[in-house]
Amino acid sequence: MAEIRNIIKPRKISAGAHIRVVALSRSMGLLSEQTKSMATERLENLGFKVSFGKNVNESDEFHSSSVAARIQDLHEAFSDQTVDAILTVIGGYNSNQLLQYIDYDLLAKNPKIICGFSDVTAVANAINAKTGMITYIGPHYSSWAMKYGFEYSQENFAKCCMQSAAYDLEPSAEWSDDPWYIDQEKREFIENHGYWVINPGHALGRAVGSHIRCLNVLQGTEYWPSLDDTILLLEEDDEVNPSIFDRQLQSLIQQADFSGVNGILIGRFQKNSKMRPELLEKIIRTKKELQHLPIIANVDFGHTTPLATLPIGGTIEIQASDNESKIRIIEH
Amino acid sequence: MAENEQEITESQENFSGDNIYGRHRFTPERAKEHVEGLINDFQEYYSSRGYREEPSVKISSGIDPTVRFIGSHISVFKPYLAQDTVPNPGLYMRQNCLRTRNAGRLLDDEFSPAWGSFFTSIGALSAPDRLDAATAESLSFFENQLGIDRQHILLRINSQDQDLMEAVRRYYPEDQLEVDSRPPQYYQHDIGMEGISGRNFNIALRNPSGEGFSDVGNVIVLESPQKPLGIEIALGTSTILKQLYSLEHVQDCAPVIGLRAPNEAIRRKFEDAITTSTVLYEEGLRPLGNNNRNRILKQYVRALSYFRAKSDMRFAELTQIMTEFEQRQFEPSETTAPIIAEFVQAYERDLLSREDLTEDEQKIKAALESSGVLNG
Repeated sequence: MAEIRNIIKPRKISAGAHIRVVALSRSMGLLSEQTKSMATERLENLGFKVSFGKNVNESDEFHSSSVAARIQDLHEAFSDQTVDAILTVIGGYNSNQLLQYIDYDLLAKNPKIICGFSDVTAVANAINAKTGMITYIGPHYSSWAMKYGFEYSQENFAKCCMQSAAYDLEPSAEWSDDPWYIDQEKREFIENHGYWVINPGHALGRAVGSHIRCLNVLQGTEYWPSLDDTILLLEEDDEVNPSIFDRQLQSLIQQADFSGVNGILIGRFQKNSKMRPELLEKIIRTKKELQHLPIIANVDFGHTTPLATLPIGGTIEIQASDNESKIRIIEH
Repeated sequence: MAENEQEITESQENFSGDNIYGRHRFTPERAKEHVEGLINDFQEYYSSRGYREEPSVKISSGIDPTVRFIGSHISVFKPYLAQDTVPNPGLYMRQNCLRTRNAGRLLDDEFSPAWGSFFTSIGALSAPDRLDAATAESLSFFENQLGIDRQHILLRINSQDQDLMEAVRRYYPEDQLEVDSRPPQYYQHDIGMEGISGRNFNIALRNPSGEGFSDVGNVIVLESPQKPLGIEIALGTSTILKQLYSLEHVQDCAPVIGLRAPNEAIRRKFEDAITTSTVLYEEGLRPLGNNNRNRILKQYVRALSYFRAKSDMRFAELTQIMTEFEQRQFEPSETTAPIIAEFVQAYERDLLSREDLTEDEQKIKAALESSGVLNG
């Protein structure tokens, strides 16, 4: 079983903080000028100073860049003493290429908030596994360009990355699955009917995971985060359907340390995934290893918007019941 | 206010009167100042004699695989012994330590711990051929640096240890030696290194009342079957200060001010649980995971629920007491006390939601349910 390292907590940021944007998966070249200017403007309006890694615009056949370029930007962001926090540009498919080239000692000696989601799951969990440093699954730099419906994301980023106190993660009032980055004005917001309680119960644990396929690429590697005493965060995008989700979940269950999972939070599925509450419940009911675990789904993280910021390596408490459910972010 | 207010003891007691060392008991607010003063005396004394300071490590650093937590500076010195590279004249250091023998008995209402789990040790490691010099230095530290009259110092020694006997006889008369008064194991040290053992004499200071002596440290020859590898001087700050300042308990060197409890045994264990939890949380350890270190911390954190229930203490009060203790004792950039309190509350919610409880959990749950603290 992998060793659980002592927690390293990055310093919270406040207005005036210097945020460095790095591309760990796909290139910033993918973003439109409008997206970049809106994201930067929103961050600057909060009082942040925004700078960019030297190589963020480098782009290859995969809309990504060389390992060396991405590692250089990541290391410079952590070693630059003027940088307070790091946002990833956007997701992609290849951040796990970086794992054996990251100087984890450098990161541990210069702890900083690093936040992103989707493909960044691999890096976020690996950094936590190798250093104990809390990392953050939350908005990318590009997410900050969203014109409408970003309030919940911003509010929860602030609770997690700008304040120290524990807090309850409330469900958003409404959500959306629009390609907002294509048309900011054409948005459909859907009323959020709250969490789906699949299994009731109480659990406390270290937060691990998020994008399930990106977490699963760490299986069997030295970057695998121990599942001992954890709350597992799982979400997927619309590349998967319920059967693929089932396969990924089964693969997790077959990990030697899965018995250490105390509870599961599942992020909201995208519409195209065709996941419905009854299908998800059926998938879970077929797995005996999950029967005793409190499980809450339709939580505001993943590939719909808005999205909460969640601390990988932090502590989360779940109280799941049909009457009242609570998700408390205890340490972040 | 608790119903049993009359029985509640306070940690802030006043004390007046000199002891045989001519010192007053210090107030809880000044405890840290006295501990740091003693450590400064030690550092000043050994550095002035050419010893080099060795940096301290985290209690939960895991640098010594033979122990769960650093319980002595010897863990830091071990590489020098293993490689036979102890410098001349030697090394000295301060080291925060944790010995968790109380952990298993925290919920035992009959158990009143004589020792706190946390303490700061001060120690030195001198070159193997310096037994005489190291002995003289250690005794001089007490007499000259701390100003303790020689008549209040007693050395407990085994007559079989001829080299140690010769060393102490050079400096102390027979009537200040207590020879063979203890079982043989008392004079032997196991430091968890294969092929290396230790033989020691102990340094005791007269009890402040004038009657009897209590150990405050020892001088140890660490050796392989072939030869000595080093001379260790091991002193406890809290044991020394307890003697010099007539403290009731070694935990009074790092007191949790304002803590109230229905009796002294619970107060001392409550204090121990707060101190240990704070120290380990400060280091980044959390009571999550099945590693032994995490599990032991869990015992202390869960015991906080039991003690707050027994003391009728609401979370706001507990959090404030822990916060003030942490700020006074460790001066952190960010206090962990609110996080510890959050863990305690989460554990309590867990206890109240489950039926498959262990015996200890049932005891904590019963204490919580019979107290008035569950609503706050």
